[in-house]
Amino acid sequence: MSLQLVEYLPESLRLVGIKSEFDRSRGYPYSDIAMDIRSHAWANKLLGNDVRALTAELLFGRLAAVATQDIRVACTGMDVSISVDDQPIHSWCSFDVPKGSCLRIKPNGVGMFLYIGVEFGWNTQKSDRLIANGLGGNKSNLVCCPPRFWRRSNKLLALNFFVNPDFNASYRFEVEKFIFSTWLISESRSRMGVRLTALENCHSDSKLASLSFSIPVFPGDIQITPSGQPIVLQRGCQTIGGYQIMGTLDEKSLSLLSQASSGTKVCFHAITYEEWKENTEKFHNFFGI
Amino acid sequence: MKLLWRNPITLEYDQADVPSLRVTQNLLKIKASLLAELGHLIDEVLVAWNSLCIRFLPTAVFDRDYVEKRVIDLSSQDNSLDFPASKLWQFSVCYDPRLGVDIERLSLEKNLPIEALVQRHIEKTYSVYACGFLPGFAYLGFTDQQLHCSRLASPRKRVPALSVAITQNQTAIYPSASPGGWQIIGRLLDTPVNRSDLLKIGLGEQIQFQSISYEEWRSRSG
Repeated sequence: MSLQLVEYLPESLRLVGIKSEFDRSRGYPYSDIAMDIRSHAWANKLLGNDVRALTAELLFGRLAAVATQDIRVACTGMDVSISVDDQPIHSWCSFDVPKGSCLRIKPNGVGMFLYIGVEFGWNTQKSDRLIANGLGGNKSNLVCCPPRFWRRSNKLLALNFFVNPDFNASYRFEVEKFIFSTWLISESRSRMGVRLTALENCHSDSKLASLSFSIPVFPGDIQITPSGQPIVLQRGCQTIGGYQIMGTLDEKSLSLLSQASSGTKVCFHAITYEEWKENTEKFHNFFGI
Repeated sequence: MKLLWRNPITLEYDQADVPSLRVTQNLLKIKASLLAELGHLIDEVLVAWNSLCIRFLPTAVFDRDYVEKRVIDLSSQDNSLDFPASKLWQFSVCYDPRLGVDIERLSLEKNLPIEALVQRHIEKTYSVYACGFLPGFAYLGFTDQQLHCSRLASPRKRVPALSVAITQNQTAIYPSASPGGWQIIGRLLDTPVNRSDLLKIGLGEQIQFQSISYEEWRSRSG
């Protein structure tokens, strides 16, 4: 242990990576994969770590920890104030915490998840070392985001998705309506999924039937319920679902959505096969995934 | 049969319109063969009812035509049904409206007294056609025609653990609290044995339900 917690108030704190040890074919969700892979990967990149090194994922993080040895740290993800022995430090860069010094982190603005990486990675062989968990996840009773955590951004968040050709063939009008609408991230969200609400004047009188037989689903899939409400599945989503799938977010958009607070406005941009491939390659090559 | 790319890395294959244990078995064999042949390119393969989805690694380079052809070739092979001898699980369920929160409405919609609705649910022996959604969630078929119903227009944010629910021609038990869109008609006895048994139920196994009163459910639930 290189950081000893002395004060700890996040809703959840767990060690996460980019690969899961859980068997989704038996229904186990990925509770050990970073919700925001982009920020997780940045934390490791800033430290020169392999991208597979685990980071600590804090939901609405506030903590204080004392270094038990000299340690190099990087914090990415949600907007936070960081200090070492009361000296302010910038996030999204790596910095030293000498032995005996106190690292303090306080939420400061928008965002949901904070990633704390340490040089060479956390000393554990197994991810999903769940330290605490209060929001979403398979060990939690809460599936809604408490209003006190709403830190809405005024910016319109644009997300890329690939339209499911099968859905497009049957419900082209629904796809167009989805793309031309602006959506709000509702208070109902968890590691499984994010429910979206149509802004006023947007149609949401969909008459889509649910599926006769449930089908496999994956993180990033956008389900449309018969009420017309879209649900974007997150990294900890279920493995099988019975609602129609309109499309799938690309990796970067899935990371961005995971950080967006309830109340944030969201719009969707349909991308082509070539754009998906290009975005994916750029994302993975940059982080060495 | 339907074969389509949901997105650039996910191939969805629907084997048949009507699921059966033979279809499930066939899909599992296709999955095993694909993982053996193309495992280095695949992120995961999931099977549900009558469909199978292959999700490739985001950066994998593969020939889409070849993958489609392999799935079709594998599906055309004759696979005999070889689930192990079927185990029969029995669970006691309380169908009281205080726990089965949709049963009164369903009773009205179907013009069927609650007792008759319960009778139709317990008189069948169900088979497990798929496992997934959550750990221990078994998709059971098929319910009596008079119980057929749609999913909720918007899924509930939280369905209590051990809820017994129906949708379409299927029934299931929620092993843990989660969001869910099925119509809830009852609740299993809440005992450590039941919670643990749900995690052991496998494909092809069978399940029967027995009705108990609310008082009995309260006194025997842990």
